[in-house]
Amino acid sequence: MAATTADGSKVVGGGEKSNVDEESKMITLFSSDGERFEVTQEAAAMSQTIHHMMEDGCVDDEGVHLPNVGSSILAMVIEYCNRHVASPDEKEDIRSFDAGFVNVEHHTLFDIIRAANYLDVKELMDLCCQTVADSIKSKSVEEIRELFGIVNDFTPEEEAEIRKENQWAFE
Amino acid sequence: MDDGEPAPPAAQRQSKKKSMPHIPHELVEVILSHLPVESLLRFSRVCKAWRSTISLHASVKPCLLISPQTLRDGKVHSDTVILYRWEDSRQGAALPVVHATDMSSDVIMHGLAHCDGLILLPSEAAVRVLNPATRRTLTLPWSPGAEPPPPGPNVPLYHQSFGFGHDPRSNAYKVARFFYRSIYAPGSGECLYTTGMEVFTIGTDQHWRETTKDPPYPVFTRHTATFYKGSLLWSIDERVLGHKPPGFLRFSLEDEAFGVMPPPPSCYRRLYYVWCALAELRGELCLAFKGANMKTIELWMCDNTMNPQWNQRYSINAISCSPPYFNPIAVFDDEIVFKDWHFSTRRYNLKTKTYQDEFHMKDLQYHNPITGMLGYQGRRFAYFDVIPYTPSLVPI
Repeated sequence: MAATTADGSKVVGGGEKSNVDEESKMITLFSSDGERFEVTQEAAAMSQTIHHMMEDGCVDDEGVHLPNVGSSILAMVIEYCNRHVASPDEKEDIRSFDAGFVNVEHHTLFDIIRAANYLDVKELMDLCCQTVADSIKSKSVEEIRELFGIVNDFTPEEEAEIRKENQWAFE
Repeated sequence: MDDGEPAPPAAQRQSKKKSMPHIPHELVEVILSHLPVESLLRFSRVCKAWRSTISLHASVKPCLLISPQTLRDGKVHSDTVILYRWEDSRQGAALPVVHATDMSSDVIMHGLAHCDGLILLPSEAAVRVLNPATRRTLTLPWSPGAEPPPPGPNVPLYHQSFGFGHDPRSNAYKVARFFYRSIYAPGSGECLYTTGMEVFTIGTDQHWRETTKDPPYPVFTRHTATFYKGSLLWSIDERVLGHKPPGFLRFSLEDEAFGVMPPPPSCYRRLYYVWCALAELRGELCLAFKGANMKTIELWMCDNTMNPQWNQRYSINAISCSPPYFNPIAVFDDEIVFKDWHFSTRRYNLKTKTYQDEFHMKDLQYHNPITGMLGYQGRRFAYFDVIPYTPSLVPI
């Protein structure tokens, strides 16, 4: 849903005007790769990180630089925030939006989790972590290691000991 | 699509797809906190860091369990005790079943109790302890205390009351059973009764053991005790006692001795023990009852049962027209979840001082895993027991 405006900056979310709208108070966010995003202050405030910066008066005319978040992921986070501030009471719509939102590959989910953690957007963190948890809860130990890129640092004896302790869980 | 890099050649694209972005361990911990206990147990084999995180039990969230009970012949019965996890976010969906226990015959259920992930399922006929996470169930042996004394007029319908908790000294879980050896209430004059208490230590005892001394006070039957910091607390039955009780009957699991926990000093006379409730909320002991004017509910807190320094923490507007019953169950975030009568559970937000919408537990969906059908065909729900629950892997 991104539209490119005359000066090349991207505006993300529900068809808002690209000009600074006095009444809806826009704020500019810069991704790590220099892309520029205009967001309402209300949506930006869903990020506690940005919210505190706004409260502490740390946001200047230029906007907020987010060196830890790439543009593709930032676009998704902004889409989430826009949607959630737009109609917070329409639970059914939001639920189906959320379900579609997390219907992405694991590595994208991990990127969103890292971004949501950095930006401190609690609802998005919970949503994505719960999604990852639901998708991994029935996986085998080997599949978990592969997914998270983990090297097994147990000796075979140690692993056998744990298996024995927790035998009932392998029924 | 990625951050502006040129597309790599095919061979590199393949290997790039396999390498996942690194996710720091503190975020892995957050993901782990959303997993059920069975998965956590299995994943403790993934690597040493995961095992360490999981074994710290920091990942396990408390929740609420609901146990619907049905009515037959005017009495609350269950032939199957089914525990459902109440989840706020899943309105309209059937509640997930945590555990189903076939009691083999219709039994009259007492209040359930929870301690460290273990659940006591006490009934008139049989007593069981269960850990839903490990799926282990222990049926306690029969005992002489289970036999009711001869029935008579003016006496309570049931003769026993249970308690369940953890003894820190022996690091064992104990079930206690209060019972009336005899009880007789002539039309005029005081009630005559003799009491008894027996204890079963899980993992140690083969049989129930009677305490050396009998309980010094009569308690309400079928009202399961509240466990707090090593002691069980029962409400004393003032009708049987014949006068205002000095407080709550306290039974220490450590030395298996009796005492009395006094109420707040200003409450001695005005407390109706049949209508008050004790619960552990966020590490403190909470006493809840309706004020004399019936318009407010008073919540008093203390932090020990031996010499409680009660302080009145909250005064909440009572919901009008309901019986004076406010039974706090747990606190989640800043909201007290409580039962206000047989069918409804409400939440009260301590910060905004408002009630959330109540929900009638009859309106929730219960999938009966035994029959495979939704609901309990033909039988009316009579009562819903609601208890807090924190999964654990404690063995029994």
